[in-house]
Amino acid sequence: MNLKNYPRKHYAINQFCQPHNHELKGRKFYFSMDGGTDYELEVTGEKTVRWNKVGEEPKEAVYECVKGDDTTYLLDFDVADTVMKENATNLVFIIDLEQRLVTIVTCWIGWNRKFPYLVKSEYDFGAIVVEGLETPFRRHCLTTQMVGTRVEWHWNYLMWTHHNYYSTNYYTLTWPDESIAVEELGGPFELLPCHDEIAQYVKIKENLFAFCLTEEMMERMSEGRIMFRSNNMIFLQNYDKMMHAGRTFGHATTPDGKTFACRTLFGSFGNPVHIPDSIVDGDNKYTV
Amino acid sequence: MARFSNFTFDEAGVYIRNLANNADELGICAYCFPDNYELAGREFVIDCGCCEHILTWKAPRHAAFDGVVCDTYVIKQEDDIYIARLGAVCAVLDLSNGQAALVIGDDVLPGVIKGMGTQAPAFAAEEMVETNVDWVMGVGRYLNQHFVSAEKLTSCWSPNAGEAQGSGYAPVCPESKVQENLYKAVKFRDSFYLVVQEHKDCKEVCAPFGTRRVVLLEDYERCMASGAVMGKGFDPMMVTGYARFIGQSKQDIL
Repeated sequence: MNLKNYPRKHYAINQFCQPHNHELKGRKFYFSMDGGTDYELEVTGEKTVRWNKVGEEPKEAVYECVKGDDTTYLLDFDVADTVMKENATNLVFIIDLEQRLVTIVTCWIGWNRKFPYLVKSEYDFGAIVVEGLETPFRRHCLTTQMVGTRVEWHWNYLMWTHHNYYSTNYYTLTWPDESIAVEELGGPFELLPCHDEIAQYVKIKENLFAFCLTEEMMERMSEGRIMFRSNNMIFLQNYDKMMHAGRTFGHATTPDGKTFACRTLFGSFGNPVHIPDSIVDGDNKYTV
Repeated sequence: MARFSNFTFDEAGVYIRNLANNADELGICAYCFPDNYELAGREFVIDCGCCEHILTWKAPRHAAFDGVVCDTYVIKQEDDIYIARLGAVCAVLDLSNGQAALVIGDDVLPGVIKGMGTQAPAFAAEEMVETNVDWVMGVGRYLNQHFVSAEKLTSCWSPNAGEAQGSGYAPVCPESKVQENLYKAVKFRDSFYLVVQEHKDCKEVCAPFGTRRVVLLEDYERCMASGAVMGKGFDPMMVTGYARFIGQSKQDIL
């Protein structure tokens, strides 16, 4: 049998995803955060955590986790009492055991009256407090170091896309004709004025970054007329290994108008790419 | 701005950093998944019928094979299925079904994990015949495997240097680099095949000159493979790759 024809499922961005990682099971963390609210996190099982803001009662949650390198984890969960509600909230912890640092990203919907599915994201940087060790004063940080990077990301065996990181606030998404992204993503994106979206770039360590994008322009321009609603995607991108892993948080709409939570882990493998000048030099039509 | 290949310079000729341009330093190890520590603190007795072997992970990066301490690297390929290297031994552990296989020298030994399973995985090379796939393991680095019979495959590594752009491919290997090699395959679950292929010396390709054996756990559901490249004169190299099927196009599934 030619295993090219193996009867596999249909995948989008989740075929080349790492499996969920549960090696932090049994670990307890105290995160001292610059934002003023500290967090405690206990990984109680292979899929469960107990967490709280310091001073508040602990809550249970079901988590997912992937690794950016041997000692850096992206662990996220939906806040249990907000799941499928109009204030749905997701917490992402980028736990860096090598440097004992942490970045927490809080993402939620329901803050904008006009666009209730628009995802808002807040970033907080901090350190992991370990008894007997001095708490680090260095931090993960917003960075300009990714600006100028252009990558081709292979998401599944037929779909690859091109990312152009040209600004600290935006990125451009495009794809070549041979990629099935033309069919999988193309239609909705062709309705937009351009392929730029809101992005944030966080440096975790040398050659390891958190690239955080929010499909905000998609939501503002389409107002729910197309499948994709606002989604936040956080990628742990490793440029030594040219691979990334991450998670999505947001919503999508079925053809009959039903909106559902769009959540998945994803991953892909990258390589350098020459992006046509017309795209690299193209205007971001969302900015003056 | 002026451009040459994928490098961009400003008007003063200063290079604008592109992180993707640093990305081929790890060669075929580039895409290797991170070391997985979930097995730390666990011990498995593998009953291969003819013999038993004990695999112990005392802590992350600390393992022993039959009581002999060795270096280790573990890749989690899917929930509950791992491919690990303990020194010069490779092991696949399927914890859901209690199945395992060991690659010790030239021997491929299917077995059961004592206390977890009852039936060893089966050899299944005949199921792979006609499959022709590139495993892309790094920027412009790949291994082509064409399973021509239940015993033999032709294989070819990509050239050592090439333009690593576009869809991530170096130029196709010249005919002179194609080898015919023996292989064995053991099937796990529905879509996982442990493929152990022999290898002969080959110059000017992206694998080390002394490569003798390629051990890959190939998952045809997710189209990824992980494993080890082993041989003379170099430490075993752990790899992960994604599949590109020869002759595929998106028209196949549209």
